[in-house]
Amino acid sequence: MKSDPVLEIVDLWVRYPRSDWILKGVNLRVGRGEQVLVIGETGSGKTTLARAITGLAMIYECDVKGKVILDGTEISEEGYGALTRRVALIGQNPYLYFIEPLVGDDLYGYALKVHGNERLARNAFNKALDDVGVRGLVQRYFFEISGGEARRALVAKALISNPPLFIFDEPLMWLDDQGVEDFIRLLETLRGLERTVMIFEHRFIPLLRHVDKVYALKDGKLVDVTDRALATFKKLSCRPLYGLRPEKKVDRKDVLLEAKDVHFKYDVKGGYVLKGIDLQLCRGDVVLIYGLNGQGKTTLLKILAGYLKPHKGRVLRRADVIYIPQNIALFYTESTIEKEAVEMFKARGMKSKVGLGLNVVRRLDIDPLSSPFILSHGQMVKLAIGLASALDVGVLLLDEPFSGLTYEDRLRLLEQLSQSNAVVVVATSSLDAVKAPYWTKLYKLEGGKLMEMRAIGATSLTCASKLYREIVGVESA
Amino acid sequence: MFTYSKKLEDYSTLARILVTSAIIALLLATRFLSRSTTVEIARLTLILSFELYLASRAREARGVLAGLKLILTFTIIGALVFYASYLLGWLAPNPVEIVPGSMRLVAFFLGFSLLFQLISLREWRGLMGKLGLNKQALALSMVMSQIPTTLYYLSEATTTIKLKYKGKRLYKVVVPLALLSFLTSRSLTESYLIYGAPTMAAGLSTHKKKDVHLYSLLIVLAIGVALIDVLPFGS
Repeated sequence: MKSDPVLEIVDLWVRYPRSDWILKGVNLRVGRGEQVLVIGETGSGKTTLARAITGLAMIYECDVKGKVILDGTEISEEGYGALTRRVALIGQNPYLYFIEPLVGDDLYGYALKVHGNERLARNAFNKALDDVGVRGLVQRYFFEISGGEARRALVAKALISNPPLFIFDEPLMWLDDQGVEDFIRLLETLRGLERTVMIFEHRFIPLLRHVDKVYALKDGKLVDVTDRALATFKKLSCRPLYGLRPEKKVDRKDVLLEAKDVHFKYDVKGGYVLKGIDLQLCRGDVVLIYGLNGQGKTTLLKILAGYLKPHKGRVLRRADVIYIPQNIALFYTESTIEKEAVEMFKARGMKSKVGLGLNVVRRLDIDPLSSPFILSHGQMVKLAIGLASALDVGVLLLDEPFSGLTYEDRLRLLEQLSQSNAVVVVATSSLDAVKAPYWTKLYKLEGGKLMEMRAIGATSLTCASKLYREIVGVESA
Repeated sequence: MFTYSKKLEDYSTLARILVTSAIIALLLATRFLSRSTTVEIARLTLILSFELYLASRAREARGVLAGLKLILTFTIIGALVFYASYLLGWLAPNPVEIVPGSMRLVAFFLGFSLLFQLISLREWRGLMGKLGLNKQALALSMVMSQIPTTLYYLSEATTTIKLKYKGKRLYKVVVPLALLSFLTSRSLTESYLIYGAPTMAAGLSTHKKKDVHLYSLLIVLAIGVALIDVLPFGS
């Protein structure tokens, strides 16, 4: 590893218009070929730092003080077009980075734009495809490939302009465990290509062994926590893992949700996505359905919710159902949180009991007159669950509620869910939730079939949360 | 039904544009030139058959199936409107008039869907660029690129809001979707500033050998639509 820095940040201060300073004197030096992980609470300024490094802070009219030097040149001296050759940003949602429907067309079009002539473009295009191993995606539509594949394709696109620095903003968001492994392989590929990598991520445990340095972004400053992170990781990952929660009493006679031999397919000619699903859930059940992306978890939830009809078999719902989507912003419709509560209670003829909903809002320490859309992802999920509980909803269906949450927030959310008196069904593609001690039943959805499972090897969310506290909680390195 | 299919790339861009535009022009002409319902139905049947033929070339059986489903859906809606009006004592439309109305609607819908099935986004962009509408072409590309994910979010929002408000106030799905569009457009701007729009040769072509086939079919259709008036049942 060479010692000359690819990225140097000197006393960087950034704030948005009419806001306090988000970054308060960030200093950082990243050497060529280094892989660096930055962790921090939601709202700690990770995305702001990524925007400052890529020059995008300018379009948000941010007030920026200090220096960002990329490969020897200060970024304020360059326009966006020139920056493309120095830094590649791979954002949270990789699907937003494609314009041409076919992956191959988009990448080749970008190569033509960067290199100007067809021969150079073709060479750069082919090299990028081979370096990242995405030749198989060339003839696929970008919206039909998985999140992990889209991210790989985007890295191939970024490689076309040959930038020395790659920035990943929450790359593991919406990835299943297989996608996480793919991303780790991608990191190895980039290491082999001697690219410098900076990763901003909540779900950092899978990455700890693969990066050179770990920084925590806290109170607007970056703190080097590499040694502490690795030491804590070694200590905690050896601890015994938790299993199910057998002590929770569930009345097995009070069945609220039942699926019997459910079969489902989207296409008349296509195969079944779900085959013979049987499920019987009672009041107090807190159930986790684990499965990789594309196994039909969301489809199953939508069938349980009554939105999709099974082709064979039947679903019996004996209670009011609430569905909380992966993209939690889709849950909210009103201008204030108070109105959200009022409308939900009104829809059920319970307007006189709206006080219960407002109590939930107060307990969560949220201003009822503020817009729900300014809440963090975690607050949005907690509020939705809280309001559903206040309504005494019988069945709560949650699709990937942990995406974008820190381990600490995930654990708190699970604690909240476990106290619910409803049937709670959580679908997730991440094993780290499996080992938290809050589930009354664990299932795996694979090949269209639902199988009950026992504990399997993964880092306990409780341990992960503790690890997070140990690392992010430190004041200085 | 709005996804581009490469299967008709044997024909030139000009031929594909002319054929799809001619279908829509014929549909408009049919509306104003038909003197009787029977003639209009016969003309619409010819046009629909041609549209389904093109759809089958572009999407094989799936294209025809989607078109037939559409016809069935509009026929059912038309029948329901008729019977509801009849039962409620409203001025019920003549059932014979419902048929060409439904057929025309389906034919227009299929015609517009063919504009996107037969002509690629890149060709649209190239055409708009030639007309000096480069910025609009880029905006169109970016909007079209987000349609599949927007449709997915629509399904998610519908499930969520339907259950949240117990089947009432479904119109409220508009609020989160509008907000999501705003956030998406912000992120799209970021990605555009970093990567820009891909440069692609529009690949516009004015003539190819196989065009004769397509033009012949179009001429047969146009003659059929024009002459159907002189057939015995037309008077």
